Amino acid sequence: MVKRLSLIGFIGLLFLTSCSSGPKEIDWGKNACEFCKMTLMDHRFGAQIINKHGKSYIFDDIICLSGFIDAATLSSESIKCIYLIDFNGSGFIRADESVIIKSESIRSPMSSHLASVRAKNDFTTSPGDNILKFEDLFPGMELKCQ
Amino acid sequence: MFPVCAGATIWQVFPATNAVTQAIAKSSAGDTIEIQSGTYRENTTIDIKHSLHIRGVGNPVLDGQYKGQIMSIWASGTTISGIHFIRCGKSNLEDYAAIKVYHVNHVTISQNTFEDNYFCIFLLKSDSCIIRQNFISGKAVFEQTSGNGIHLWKSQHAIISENKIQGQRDGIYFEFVTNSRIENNISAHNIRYGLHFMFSHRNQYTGNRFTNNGAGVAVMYSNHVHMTRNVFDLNRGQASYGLLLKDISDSRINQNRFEKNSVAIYMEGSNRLTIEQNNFIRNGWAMRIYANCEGSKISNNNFSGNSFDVSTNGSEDHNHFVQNFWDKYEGYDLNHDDIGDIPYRPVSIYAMLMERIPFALILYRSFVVSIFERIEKIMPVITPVNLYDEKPLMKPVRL
Repeated sequence: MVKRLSLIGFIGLLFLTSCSSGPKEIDWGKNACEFCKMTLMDHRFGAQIINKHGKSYIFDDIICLSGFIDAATLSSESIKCIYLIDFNGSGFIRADESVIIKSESIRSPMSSHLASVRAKNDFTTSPGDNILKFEDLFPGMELKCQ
Repeated sequence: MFPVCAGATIWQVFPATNAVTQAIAKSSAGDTIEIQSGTYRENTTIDIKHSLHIRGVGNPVLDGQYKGQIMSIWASGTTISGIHFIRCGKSNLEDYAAIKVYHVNHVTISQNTFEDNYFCIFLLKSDSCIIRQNFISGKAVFEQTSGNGIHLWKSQHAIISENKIQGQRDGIYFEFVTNSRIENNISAHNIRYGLHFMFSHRNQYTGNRFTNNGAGVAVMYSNHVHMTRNVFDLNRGQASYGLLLKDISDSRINQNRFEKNSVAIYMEGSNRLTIEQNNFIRNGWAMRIYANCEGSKISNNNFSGNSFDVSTNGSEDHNHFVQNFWDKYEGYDLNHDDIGDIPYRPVSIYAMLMERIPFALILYRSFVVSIFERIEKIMPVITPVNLYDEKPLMKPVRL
């Protein structure tokens, strides 16, 4: 009886873990980018897609995220939420609430010069830098984050 | 310190605060600075603004005290040798290095030792430099506060030879580097890659050994790369490869040895490669080829003792396998021409199954799988129709 109960408990646990929402923690130095296969090392850069089934896809650079979306590996309807790593180290930010900066001074893993921050004032821009919103990079995409 | 001979002066430096900086301030272009053994702590980065030959005698130590860069080179023709660099600064925003070379040419960095630095040798837009016989040892253990051993950015005609690099993030990193050679280096126990190429064309690397690195060697977004006589071994882990090829074209991979890696060669978006005369020994997968790879020729290689010879995620294959030796080949050679009479299909049904359902690994070497394999051999359904070696060799290629 106890055995059966623990089995039911175990299966229940499996279901619970597969339903968790929100971004998954990155295992730095272990996880590889879904698009370019590079191992994630730099805590200032990264992105994550959560699909409607709760599966997460991790990227080392915003350019890999956009490459992955352009390659239509995942249809845009099946994307539930996208998160971007804060350049200043506070972890994941919802992509539609983040500010994306393109600056020559940003040395991102894939040389895209892109980084994301929570607010415009969180990055000291210099002349020639561009400030972008999520809609500029992914026009027409609607996120269904909760 | 005192000058020794006339003409190009030799300046002797003995341990004192800022001794090296003061000697450099007195010197003029073309002079030699001999740093005698001892430990040197400078208050600021040592800036070399005119060409000098800096030579360590008796392994002097330059201690950066974790305070930023140790040496910056701004003059062409400078040579640095025989110095032990330790403890340069670590930062998230600045890429501090033990030696950084800025926009100059013909700099030689040889026979130095680097210990516990962030980046060690960093070249920015510097051409025709030589980095030879250095020993680099980092303390990086699964943390992000580690830089690369030898890092080149937008440089060309570099020669990197006989260095030994360990414990850094990437052993050697090339970004926008062209026409350069990497020869006879040993890159081991680095957290990420032993060697990492990005957007770097027409380079060759020969006779290197890449062992026990976090994720192996990555060659990405480059063309005309020649990889010859290297050893890739013991690169193990879930996302680990002997050699990761991503968007590579028109390159040659010859006479290398791949041993005991999770995946010996992983190819994605790579076209027109020549993969010849390599040994694939006891790897998890000898080759994983994505369906978006085209026009590569894989011939005269030995595949022995690998769990899986080849796996792919597509139903068709656009690469050409011919005259390889496969230890799993079971055909006969009735006409004794040393070529098997029937083609060999290196992709097993189980390897295909694994591509789709990784958890199927649990069935490895099970009875069910061997039945599958038998049936598939007789009536191929799932495995790619045109992926086969039409002339499998009966004997290993002598390499």
